[in-house]
Amino acid sequence: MKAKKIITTIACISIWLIIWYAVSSAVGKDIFFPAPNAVIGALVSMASTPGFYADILYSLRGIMTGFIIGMISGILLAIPSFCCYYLEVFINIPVKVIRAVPVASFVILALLWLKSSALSTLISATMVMPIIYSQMLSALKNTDRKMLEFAKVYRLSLIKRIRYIFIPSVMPSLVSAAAVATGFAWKSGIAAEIIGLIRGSVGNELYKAKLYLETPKLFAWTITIIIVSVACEKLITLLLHIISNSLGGSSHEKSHNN
Amino acid sequence: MKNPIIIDSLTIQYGDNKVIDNFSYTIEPGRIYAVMGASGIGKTSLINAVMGLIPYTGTISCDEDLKISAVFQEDRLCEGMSASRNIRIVCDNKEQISRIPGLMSDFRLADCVSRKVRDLSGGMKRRIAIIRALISSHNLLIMDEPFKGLDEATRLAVMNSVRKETPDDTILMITHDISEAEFFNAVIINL
Repeated sequence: MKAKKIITTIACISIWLIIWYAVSSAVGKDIFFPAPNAVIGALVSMASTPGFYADILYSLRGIMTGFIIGMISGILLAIPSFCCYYLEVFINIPVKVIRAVPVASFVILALLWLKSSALSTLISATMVMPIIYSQMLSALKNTDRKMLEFAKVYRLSLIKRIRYIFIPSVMPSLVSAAAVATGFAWKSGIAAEIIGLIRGSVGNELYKAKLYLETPKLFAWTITIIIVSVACEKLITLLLHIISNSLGGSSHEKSHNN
Repeated sequence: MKNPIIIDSLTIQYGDNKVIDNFSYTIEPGRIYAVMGASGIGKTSLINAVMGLIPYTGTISCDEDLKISAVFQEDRLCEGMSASRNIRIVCDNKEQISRIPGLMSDFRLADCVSRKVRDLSGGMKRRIAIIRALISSHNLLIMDEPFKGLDEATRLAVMNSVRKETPDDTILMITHDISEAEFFNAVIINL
């Protein structure tokens, strides 16, 4: 089954590469639509310079710091919202505002308040927080009522309730929300780096590639961002799965009413 | 349990539907009671009221330090955890934890100690829920059709173990089977 999946994926990627090559051949100019070999060439050339890794590390540090801040604040805000309806309404207002404000507006506003090096961290955090908050709150609200009744009858301590009932209940939602949020963190973080022209960042390199019409390089940086973003997503998902399993699994028996 | 549980003028209502209307009863310490009656008559509602899980009118008075253990209608286990871990959740001390292997063996679950609950059969889960209730410190044991879904031989073995483990307990048990009530020499509460 796994071999079938790998073969199918490789076959599909190959077909898309052929389509890409055909389109670039039809366009005929690398400056508008580079061929896969030109992009791979640019990527190899970039990867052979130490600056490439320094740029990635710089962006990685800023964006993932923002991701962690966004994740922690989303979780910490969801807990009081779950406990108290009035707090939920109170917290929901800024969360909805943050969710609705365009990234570009946020970046420009943030540029007035912060030094540009902290920009990608702030923007990533503001994009991640509402996703984690809403998923976490929803998962807490959907905690199996019958398990909570069990905890009440058996007089389980708050720590036991959190450990054995709430954490297994929220973990599946938290893992999927974190995976989605990682992608958003990278998209918004890179956008912030481009708008803020943050020196030594991937976003700045992307901007320079566009400015000097180095389209193969632009594509190569985009592929790099996708690879790093997916790697971060897999790593975070793996970490959360490990935490979930070490705490004793991820789901309760679904109770039924008679 | 030092004093009786006194249920006085208990009324339980879901919307316009009164499932229990003005019910009064006294549960004496150290006795076993079998709540019987047709499906939908309010047996589970009655024990849920005693456990404080649903709203009602009337009064249920009992000791302030009343500790309840329960086998619910559903097993209410943490599926991702092992059988023994599910039982350990309700343990307050090492003495209780040390009883787990013996009880698992008595309940024919010796080979299930470290298996995850999600991998066990319905009957096995039921027995784990019963062991959990027996091990948890309590002075009132409430069981809602505890032997449902067990084959005859296992049911008898489990009933014997429950009787052995609860010599002086106050038990409130829902059953549809008169032989279970007779086995425990229970006082029958007909709803």
